[in-house]
Amino acid sequence: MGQSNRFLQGLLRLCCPPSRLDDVEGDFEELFEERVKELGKTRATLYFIFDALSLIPLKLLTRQNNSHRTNNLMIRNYVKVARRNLAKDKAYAFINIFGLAVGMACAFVILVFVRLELSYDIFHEKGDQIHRVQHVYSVISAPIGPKMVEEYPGVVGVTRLNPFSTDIKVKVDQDKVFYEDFLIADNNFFETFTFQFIQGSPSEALKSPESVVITESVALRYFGKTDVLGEVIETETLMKQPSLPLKISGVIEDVPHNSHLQFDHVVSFELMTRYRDPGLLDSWVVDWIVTYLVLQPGADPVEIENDYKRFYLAHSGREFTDLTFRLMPMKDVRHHSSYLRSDFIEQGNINHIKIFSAVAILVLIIACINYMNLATAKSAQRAKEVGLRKVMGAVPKQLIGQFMVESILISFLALILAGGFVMLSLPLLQSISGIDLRHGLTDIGGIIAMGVGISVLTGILAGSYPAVYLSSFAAADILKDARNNGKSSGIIRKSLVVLQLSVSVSLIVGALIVLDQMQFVQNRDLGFKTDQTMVLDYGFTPTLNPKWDLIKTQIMGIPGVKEVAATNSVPGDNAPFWGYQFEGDEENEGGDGWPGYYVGPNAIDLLEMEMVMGRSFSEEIESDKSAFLLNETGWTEAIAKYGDHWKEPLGKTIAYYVEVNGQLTMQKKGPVIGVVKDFHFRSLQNEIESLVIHQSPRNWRVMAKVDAANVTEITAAIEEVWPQWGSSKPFSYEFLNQKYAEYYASEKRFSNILYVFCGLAISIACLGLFGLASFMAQQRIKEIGIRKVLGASVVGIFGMITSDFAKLIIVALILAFPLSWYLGNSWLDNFAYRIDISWLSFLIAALLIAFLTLFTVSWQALKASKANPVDSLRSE
Amino acid sequence: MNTRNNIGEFEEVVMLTVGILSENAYGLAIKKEIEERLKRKVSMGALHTGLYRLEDKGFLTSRLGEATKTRGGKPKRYFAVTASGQKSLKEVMDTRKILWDNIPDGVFQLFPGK
Repeated sequence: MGQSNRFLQGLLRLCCPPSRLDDVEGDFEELFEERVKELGKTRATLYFIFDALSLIPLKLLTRQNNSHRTNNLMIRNYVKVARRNLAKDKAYAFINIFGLAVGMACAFVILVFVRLELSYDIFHEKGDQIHRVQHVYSVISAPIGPKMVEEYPGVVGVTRLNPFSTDIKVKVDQDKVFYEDFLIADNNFFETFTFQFIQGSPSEALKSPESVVITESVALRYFGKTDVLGEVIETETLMKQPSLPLKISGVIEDVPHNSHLQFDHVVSFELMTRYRDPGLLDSWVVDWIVTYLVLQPGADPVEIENDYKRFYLAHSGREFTDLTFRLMPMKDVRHHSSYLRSDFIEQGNINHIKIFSAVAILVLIIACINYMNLATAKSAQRAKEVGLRKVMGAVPKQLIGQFMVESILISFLALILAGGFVMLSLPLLQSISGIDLRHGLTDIGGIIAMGVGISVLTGILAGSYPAVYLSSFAAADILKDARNNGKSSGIIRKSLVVLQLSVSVSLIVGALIVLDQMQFVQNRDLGFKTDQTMVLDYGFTPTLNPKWDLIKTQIMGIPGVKEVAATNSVPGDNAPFWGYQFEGDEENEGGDGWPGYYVGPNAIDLLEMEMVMGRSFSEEIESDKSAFLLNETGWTEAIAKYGDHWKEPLGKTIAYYVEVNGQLTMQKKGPVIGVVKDFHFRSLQNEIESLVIHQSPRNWRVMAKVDAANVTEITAAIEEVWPQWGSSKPFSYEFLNQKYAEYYASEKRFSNILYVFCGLAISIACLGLFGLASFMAQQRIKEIGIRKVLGASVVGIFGMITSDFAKLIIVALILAFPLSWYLGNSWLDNFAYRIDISWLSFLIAALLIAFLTLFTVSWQALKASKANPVDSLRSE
Repeated sequence: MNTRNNIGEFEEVVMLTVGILSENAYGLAIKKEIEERLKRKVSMGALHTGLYRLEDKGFLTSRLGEATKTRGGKPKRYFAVTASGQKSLKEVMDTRKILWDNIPDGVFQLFPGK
């Protein structure tokens, strides 16, 4: 097919007579392609739609079949009758349309969100072939990729990159200064990935080492134009060089929002080999590079995955001990990499997408059930019409058609309202969910298709049962006794109400479980204090150690600062693996890989971590610079791995190895001086792991414990003295608890959205119950009147009406509890540290739904029971 | 008068354009030719409706061309003016001519100096 999408083709097929479809389609396709080039996709789509609609008269003209003509006439009649019915009972119309609109708006927003998520990384021409190499991190050692190209015929290309050169100072024309992030990549980067060039060419742009490719918006920021090939920018601290000029060799369009790779400056690895340690690219030990392989079409990634153990041993001479090795297809990288210990990209969560989709469908179903219930409840009022139509010769098929037309009409009205809701709620949604949905709303054809799709689906779903039910009335019965009040639909209507209530209950229980767990996560004792701890980013080059005394005195001199410490790692950081050789394991050259934290001497005390044994580092004791701490888990592991002598850990030695020029070299050896109580150095989704803590000779962060009341004054004071410290970075700070909160950002977003949908679902359900209760009271108005005349009390009648609903609630609760228990547990399994589901959640949900339902119903019940029986009985 | 043999202004324009394009007269080309020469917008619907009516009246014939690789693989439908179509066009022109010729001198100011 051509460029137009399936929706447009479908629309054309609807509007065009079949006899002319082939060549007209060709004309439209040709015109559309031209217009896309001239006017852009959006306007071309709009013109296409207008043109297609202009064909409708031709379609009507070519229709020879008379029955179609009558049908058209009848549809006009159906629409007229539907309109009159809506106008006759405005409350009913409002409940129906409003409920459906809310349901549809939910479904629409979620659909946009899901489409947006699933559109990630689909724009690369080689997208199906590209796979990212992952083990426990998103980074691996540098030679693996090229070696795989050599060894496996199925691997035809490799592109590696390193995204960690951040906050690099860039000077343009001496006076303009920016701080920017640089992506370092192999020079075939733009041949593997598809990004659109405005200036320069994908194959040439990174060929010379001192060149840089920038995005359009960066070019505009630097120079105010995009025609900047050959211009030179000057960088500081890039590749650890004090000054490094780079020539702009390419300008690309801004990276699409739906790319997991986000960057705006790209330089080549050759720049790195020229100015920095060239051995790094040959080291098998250091994991620091992100690798993408291009596989031959049809090559099986699983074979390479399974061969990895052998491959790694053969080339690096080391055992591969990690648990996983995977080649992740490009389009799955965003959604299926959450098992990684760390990742440089913003991840999506496939489970959230699934849960949201399910919730959207549930909300829509609740809204549809409202419609079904109200439509069948109101059937008494439509019965005469059905009878008369049947007498006049309508067959059931036509009546079903009529009621379907009616429900689809109502759902289109709801669609308009839903469109308004979506527009109004977008900013709100963005603020609670943190998701920018505007990117999902740019494809107009797709949006219209989704809207129309949802409303037709809703119309059919909601209209099917009432249509079948209403059209099944026997004409003779209806006309003989006009008070056929639709009681036969009772069971089905009741089951629908039960279904609606159980869905609502499940959502409430779900939301309460999520709420509990989020509170648990936020209130859990992490093993250290995060509050009021400010973290300043000094930068790695130059290191802050020579200036430390100055920094310390100046910060401590600021009123409100209680404590200060230099450090390298802070809790929440990824713990890098290096070689640690424990006492008793001397044969193991280079030691085992352990996760390690590097801290300044008083960082442990500042964070108020508890010691199980021994002491933490002290600034005064010089030998502490080569001493080590373990956490409890690490201690336990050491005993298991290296022998019982580790039961007394204090004084036992550890040697620390890092790689220098491809060789594991001992950096220091020293005693263990203490064991730290386990603390959550990663998020609660993960188990606490073993950890070695020692001091770093190169610190790059300053932690300060400050008085929360004076934060503004303190930051202002630090900013003032910051220039004296010789940092390569601009002043910036964050609070440790904020940093920790980011770990739960996606769960937090998820819970916020869930609460909203839960609230909407319940309000729609209540709206429906309100309508239903009022009809039931109306239908029984004579019965109530007679009961009252015979002496029934207001309380008795109130009880009679509400007890009907109470029974339904009980059935709904019985159905909903096991389901929500199961779903809640499967969500909680995401967390290593989780709550047990409390019976309180169920109790609250039950009470809440009972209260809401009875409250909704009782208003009608009260009205009915208080009414004067004379009014209701006099009418006949 | 028999309406079936009467042609309207738009139909006349369409038929004449089909004549101009001769071998290459298919839907989109006709639309573009009219838009370019007469500086007026023609909607797809109006054009195809016109073409259909004219064919129905027997003033145009059409045949489907070969399927092509462009246009989403869809064939073009080529139109030609039939003999009766040409006769009608001529009639229209003649009627006009008679009317023009009978306008007394000096009533229209379009041709100063005449």
